[in-house]
Amino acid sequence: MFTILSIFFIILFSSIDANAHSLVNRSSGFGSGFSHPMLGLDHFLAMFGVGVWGAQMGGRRIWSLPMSFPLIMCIGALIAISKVYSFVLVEQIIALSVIVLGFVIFLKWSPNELIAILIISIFALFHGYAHGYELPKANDPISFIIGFVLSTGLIHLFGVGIGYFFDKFDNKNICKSMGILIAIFGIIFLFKAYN
Amino acid sequence: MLKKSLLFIIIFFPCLIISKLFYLTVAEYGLFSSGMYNIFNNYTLLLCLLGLSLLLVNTKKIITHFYFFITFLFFYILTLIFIDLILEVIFSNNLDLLWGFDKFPLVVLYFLSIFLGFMLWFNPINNAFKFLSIIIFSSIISFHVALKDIELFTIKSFINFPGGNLLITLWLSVTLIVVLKIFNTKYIRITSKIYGSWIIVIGIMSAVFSLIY
Repeated sequence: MFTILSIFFIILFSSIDANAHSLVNRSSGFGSGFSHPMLGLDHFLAMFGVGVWGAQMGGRRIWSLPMSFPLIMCIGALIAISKVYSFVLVEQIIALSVIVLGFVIFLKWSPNELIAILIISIFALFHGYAHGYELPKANDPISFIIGFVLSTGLIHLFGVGIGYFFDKFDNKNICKSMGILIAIFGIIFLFKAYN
Repeated sequence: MLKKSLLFIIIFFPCLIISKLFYLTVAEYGLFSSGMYNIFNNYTLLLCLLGLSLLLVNTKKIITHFYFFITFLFFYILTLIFIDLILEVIFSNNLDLLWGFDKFPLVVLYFLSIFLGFMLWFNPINNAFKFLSIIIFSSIISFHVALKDIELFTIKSFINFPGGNLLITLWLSVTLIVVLKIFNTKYIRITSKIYGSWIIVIGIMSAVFSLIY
């Protein structure tokens, strides 16, 4: 049984990925769209942070925050696709979003639902703009769109799961530590964006 | 007993048909299998199928699922029969010029995903809304299939390209509904709202991107 399992895992992990879904090649299709928020740590931490924050606040906000983020992100992406307006300091504001989300998780700040949505909406616009900017370069833009929207949503759900679990079953220090870590990464991204 | 019958439908029925295909010549099953691949190759279509399954999963009575199936089949065939009439309306109103006729089979799917996204947001309990969703879903899928089919539709050719599409659509939706029934209704409701926003975003962005580029 062990031998069969070993052979199975060797075959599974030694195979190369199909070119259509390559995560290495930039701007190809579904794979690169899916990997854009996953492999970009700034996007990942911000979206993860939104999920954790929503779970920390509880109630309706568990799903209203992850639901609003992609919708506002869509507006940002549409601005980038249509080129009606060029956003400035995109990288810096994305880094700032990571810092802010890190701090609100650390402080366990629980504002009104509308205020929380307004805060994440501002950041979602810039995240969407960054994704949308990559779109016209993709070989298969529609698959790229589907990839990055699904990946964004899954990161939110991952954040909600982690936040909910630690907030409910732990003494809440782990969530606070995560908040600090996210904020530290955000500060590093901000320095990187300026250099 | 009921679960066993459902499992039979989910696993054995499509397996039997697919295994049967291996004994036929390519000329006989080519269009049928390309119809099957048409569903698997289209991300938007697969996402819409998952959306529809999420919408229908909360239906309690099995007989209602049967009525859903009949409604789906009726409007699927009806759209295929009246496709020429529908195309005439589209051409006379110059709707095809907006996105270009080559993109039309996909653009209708983007609008379908937006529609299903809104339905998932409101997550109706009333069966009338579910029937409305099925009618729109089956008509649009059928329209998409008719635009991609290389044959002229006749009742005899139904088993070819449209038949392949229909088999996989039904198989996937039944499988998804049965799998989703495991989860608690509360979680399904939250998932529907979140998933609804995803497919709205995908639909809007794809439609706008297709319009601009």
